[in-house]
This record gives sequence, C-alpha cells and structure tokens, in this order.
Amino acid sequence: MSTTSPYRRFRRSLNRVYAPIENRLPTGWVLLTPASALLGFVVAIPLLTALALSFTEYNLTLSTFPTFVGIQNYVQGVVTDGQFLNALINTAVFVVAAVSLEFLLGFGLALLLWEKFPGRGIFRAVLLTPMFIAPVAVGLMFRFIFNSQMGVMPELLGFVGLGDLGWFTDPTLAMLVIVLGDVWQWTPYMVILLLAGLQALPSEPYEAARIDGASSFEQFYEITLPLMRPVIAATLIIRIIDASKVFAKIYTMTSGGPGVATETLAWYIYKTGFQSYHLGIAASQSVTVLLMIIGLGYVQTYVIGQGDEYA
Amino acid sequence: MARENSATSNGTKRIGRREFLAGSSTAGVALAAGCAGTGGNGNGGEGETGNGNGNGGGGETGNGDSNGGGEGVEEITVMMENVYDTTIIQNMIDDFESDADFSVTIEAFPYGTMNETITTQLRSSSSNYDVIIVDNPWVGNFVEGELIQPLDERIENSDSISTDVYVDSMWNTVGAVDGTAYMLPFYNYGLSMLYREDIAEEHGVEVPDDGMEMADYLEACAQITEDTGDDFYGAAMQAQRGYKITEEWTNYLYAEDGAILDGGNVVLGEDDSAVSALDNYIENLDTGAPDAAEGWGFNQARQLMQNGNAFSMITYNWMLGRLSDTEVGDNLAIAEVPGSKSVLGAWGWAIPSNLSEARSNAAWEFLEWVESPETRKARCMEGGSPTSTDTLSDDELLNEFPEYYPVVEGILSDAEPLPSIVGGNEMIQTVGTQLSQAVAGNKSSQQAITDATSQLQDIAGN
Repeated sequence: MSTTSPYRRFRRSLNRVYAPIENRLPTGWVLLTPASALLGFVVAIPLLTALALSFTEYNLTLSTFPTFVGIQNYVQGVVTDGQFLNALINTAVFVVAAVSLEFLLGFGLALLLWEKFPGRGIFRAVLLTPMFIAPVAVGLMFRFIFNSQMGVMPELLGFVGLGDLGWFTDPTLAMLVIVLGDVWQWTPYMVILLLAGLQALPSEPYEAARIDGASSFEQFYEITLPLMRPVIAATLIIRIIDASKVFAKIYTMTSGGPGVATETLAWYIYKTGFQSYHLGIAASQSVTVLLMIIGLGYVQTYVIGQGDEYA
Repeated sequence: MARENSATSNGTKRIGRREFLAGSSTAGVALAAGCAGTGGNGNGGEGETGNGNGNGGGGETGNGDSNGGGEGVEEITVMMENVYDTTIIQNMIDDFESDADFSVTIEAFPYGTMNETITTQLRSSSSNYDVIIVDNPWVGNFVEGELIQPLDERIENSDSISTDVYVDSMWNTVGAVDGTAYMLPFYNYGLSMLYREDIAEEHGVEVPDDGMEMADYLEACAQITEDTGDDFYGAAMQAQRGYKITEEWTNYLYAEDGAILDGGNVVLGEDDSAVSALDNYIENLDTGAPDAAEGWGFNQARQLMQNGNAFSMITYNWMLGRLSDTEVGDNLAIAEVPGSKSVLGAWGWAIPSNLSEARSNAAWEFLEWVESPETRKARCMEGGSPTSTDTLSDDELLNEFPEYYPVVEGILSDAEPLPSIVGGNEMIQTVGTQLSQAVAGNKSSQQAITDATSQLQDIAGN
C-alpha cells in the first residue's frame, strides 16, 4: 500500500484546478489581461467617450444629459469655424518651426556626441536637463526672460539697439518666443533618440567607405542618413504629435494672443470646452485633430520609409 | 455521444477567449469605476459611495445625518482664490473652529485654474468642496444649470444673515438672480484709478475723487509719458487678450455711456460708443503706456506701478492697500475710474447643489459666521474688501480708512459688472479676443466691435 504525502496531494489538487484553465487559456492571454484592461480603461474609454460626445450637444454647466445632434458639431466647430482654421494654421506653423529647429539642432548635437571627446558624459547630462522641467515652468521662464521690464533678453538686445522689440505684442515675435521655448526644452529629446540610432549603426559600411576614400560628408550623406531614416521618421513623428498638443506654453506666455496669433488647436479646444463650456463641440474638434495626427503619421512614415535600406 | 463544446469532460464550463476578454474588460472597467465612485471626498469620512445629484445626498452610506446642523460632519472644505481677503479669513478661522463641531480647510487657488476646477466639481456626483466662491461671470451658468443651492430659506431662518445690508450693486451681481438668493456677496473688486499724487501735482493734473473726464485722462497720460522720457508712463495698462482687456476696456466703454448688454440683449454695437471707447483705449496704449502693455496682464502692470514707473493704473480698489507698503505707497491715492462709472468685479459665497443635507448645513453654518456683521467688520478692519452699507458707514472703519471708504462707496453706487448671464464667461472671452485683434492692428476698431457684437448675439441667442 502506497502512501501519498500531503504535499503531493496538495499539488494534485492544484493541478486539478489549474490544468483545465491553462489548457484553455494560454498563458500569454492571462498575462496580457491586466495590462489590456488598464490600457482599455485609460485610453479606449476616454477616446470612445470623446467620440460619442462629439455627436452630442453637451454644455458643461447647463446640460444634464448629452443630446444627440449628428454631425452638427463637426459642421459648426470644425468645417465652418474660422477660428478653428486659424488655430490649425497656427499649430502647423508652430510644429514646422519648432520641430525643424529641434531636429536640426538635435541631429547636430547627436553627431557631436557620437564622437568621443573629454567631458562627453557631463555635457550629455547637462544637455538633457531642460527635458525634465515641466512645460508650465518653461513657459514662465521664457515669459520672464523676454519680459520687457526685467527680462534678460530685452536687456541684452538693448546693447545693439533692439531692446524695444514687442516680444509678446508682435504676432510673429510672440510665436517665435513660444517656438524658442519649445526648442530649448525638447531638442535634448531629439538628441537622445538620434544618438541611440547613431550608436546602433553598423561599422562595416563606414570601414568600406573609408577604404574607398569617401569623405566625411560623403559618409554622412551616403551611409548615415539612409541608415538613420527609420529612426529619424520615428523621432519626427513622436515630436510632431507632441508639438501639435502644445498648451502649457501658450497658457503661460500669451493666452493665445496678441489677437489670435498664437491660438493653437489645444488652446482653442480648451477654450471651447472649459471657458465656453461647449463640451460636444470641443470633443468634435479633438476627434478631428486626432484623425489629422494619425493621418499625418501614416503619410510621414510612408514618405520617409521610401528608398533603399541597408541590408 | 457528442461532447458539448462549451464544457469539459468533468462538467466545468469552458471559457472562450472572446468571453474571457469581454468579461475581464468589464471587470476592469467595473473595478475602476468602483474605485472612482468610492474615492471619498476628504471631508471627514462621510462615506459617500453613491452618485446622487441634488440636495438630498443621494447614495450616502455615511453617518445618517439627514437633518439638523452639520451633524456628523467633521470637516468642511472651502474653495477660494489666493487673494488677500482669503488670507484674512484663514487667519480668523480659529475663531470659528473654536465654537463649531467641525474644522474648516481652505484651499486657495490661482484664478486661472478656478473656473474649470469648480465647474467639474459642481458637475460631479458629489463636490469635494462644501463652500465655493463664484465670480460674477459664472453666475448665469451656475444658476441656470442648478449647480448652486438657493439660499432663501436658510437666509429667512438665520439670525445672523441679513441681505438688506449689502450694497445693491453687490447683491444684484453676486446675491440674487431673478429674485432668488443663490449667493452671499464675499468681496468686491470694483475697478478704481490708483494714481501718484506727487506726479499729478508735478504735472498739474487734477484728479477728483469721483474720477477724471476720459478726455482729460488720455491727455494727462500722453503728456506725462512724453514729458518724463522712456522709463515712465502715464498708464500701467493690461491689454492681455481675454478677461483682462475686456475688464479694462469696459471702463472706457462706460465712460462713453455705452454698455455690452441691456438685460439679456446685446446692445454693444447699437451706437458708436464702443468704437469710440476702443479708439480711446488704443490711443492710451499708444501714447500713454509702454508698448509691451498690449500683452500685459495684472502682474506686469502692477509691477510697473509699484516700481514707480507709472502715474496711474486702472485696477481693483483694494490694490491701494496692497501697494501701500511699496516704495510708491506714500504718494499713492485712489479715485473713481475716468468717466466715474466702473466695472464691478464681485465674488459671492455659494453652496454646491451636489452636497448632502449635513454637509450643506455645515457649509451654511460657516457662511453664517463669515458673513455675520461682526466677522464682516473684523475682515474689513484687516483690510478686507467691503460689500455692505453697514461696513461702509462704520465710524471705526471710516476712521481707519478715511480716503478709501468714500471712494469705494462711490464706486459701488453705480458700478456694473461684465456679462453675468448665461454664457457670460464666453462673452467676456469673445469680446476680449476681438479687442485684442484691434489692439494688435489686425482689425479696425469698427470691425472688431461689429464682429464682437455678432458673436455675442449668437451666444445670447438674440
């Protein structure tokens, strides 16, 4: 007569419970479930709610329940709203200016940091500092830097006769200050991503190019740029999406002014939703912006993805 | 015998992937929703888990406190703006707590974050705040949306609150709406003109207490700016887009006998007063103020004034007290705004509708204390902003503030608020955007007023 230890009996009981579940629910699904549920809650539900809200009339202070109005919000708040178009243009100007400068500076600095030189670690650490500052704080900093009464920039420019520039009253200069604030803060982000891409490049093509007598510029143009294309595409897409949501710097620096010169999409949607309380219209504008950004991402990925890749 | 697909051989029901995912998603959402619903309100553990709306405290599972005082409430939270009047109350709160059965937490916010914070709180199933303060542009929407409680019954049964004492303009702005009391006036920020007596004397400018004529003011600002060189200006202006420019410009509009609304009707563009006021405003920006003032808000203008670089500033009347300790304090004086009729800014105390009876009662107990004659006077003695006739005529206060109180009385006697009807906040932003475009040179004054009028009519439904 054989005896079974308590431990074996316990294991057997466990197997009886878990084996059927494991057979029918692959471990991957089980492990995926908590993260999926969380992601669904924090991403899908708000998105679907916004989508549903965009087809309703809903005033934050007056309406108890949203009323279905079809595509009226899209017509009123997007298609026929001149201020939305103005905000779209301003956002495009901001994104193109800021992301272009960030990319050019970021790529340049990444190439610099790719080379080994004394103090590179310290330089890299200092370079990354602006990224860790909240956008609101950056906005306030630049507001003070360009403050006409006590700002350091008007003071310095005063030495060359440019101390009276209306940094926050001239539409172009106001946009420029916001762009500069964004460039200062997010160029390091470009550096990190592009430097990671550069460091992952294979050395063989460069060795072959050197043997063939290629100059540094030829190596950069013929090898580095093509190989970096996917990294550049990803970096630009991330920054474009992020830059299109610029809000805190507008809030702290210009409130969208002078006039409507720095009113961007995020600011305009905020105004529509939380200052005018028209949540339905604000939702339709948000959904439109989301679709635009998704479309832009696809186009950009396609365009930059064209061409030869190193194999 | 065929085996059913959905069951195992031992009878255990088989779970399909799709069913599992659907179930787990629902569970996740339910779990998350549950967390949101039972998050508590930080107000003494009333244990609210429901989502009722209105005054009955729907869904309360807490301390069975349906009636009578603030029984069971251990703490109330008051949402306020971080201004001097709030500091005064924070310093006095021990007096209230020593007699009350609950404590009071005051959360003071910067103005820019208050509107959306309050609105979302009032829209939620239960507000985290037991007492809120309401700025006059929000009144129309909050009342129409039934977001704040009517107070008539409580006032009628109160021994310490009498609405008769409030100055009419204050009571009509942040007290009663269509004959029903929804708020108790807290403090006024009626606009005044602060100016430098020494500069006025030096340049031969006469400033009567009831305000200069607008034409004289524009001339004085231009002359002082021209005479004093680059570092000194006639006016510290604040033409920042949005609320600030609307608030400042509307004083110029009143000086031209104009108005934005008449009752619920838009009258802004009906005559040439608005265009004329905007021309005057732009003229003063061009000839009497720093160029940068086109983008300035309150802080930058105050800085110019307190640094001794400006003759005048159209600003809140209580700024006289705030600037008295600065280097220009000894020479600072107050008068009514040019044209005499000023914009009335006003805050009122209110109780959110989405509170339980017990929390509402506790909130009212606090309001009865803070707006009692004794506390009101004590607040004013500390430099608080007066709202009532009894404080404005109080001998002790008049002795303490002999120059300030008569001017404030004059301001409050005929001051009118910015739009406070439904859509008031949107109207102010709309006007501010159009004014800013005219100031920036993107539109003529006429075009800006025409566009503003058209947009206001859309908002008002005229």
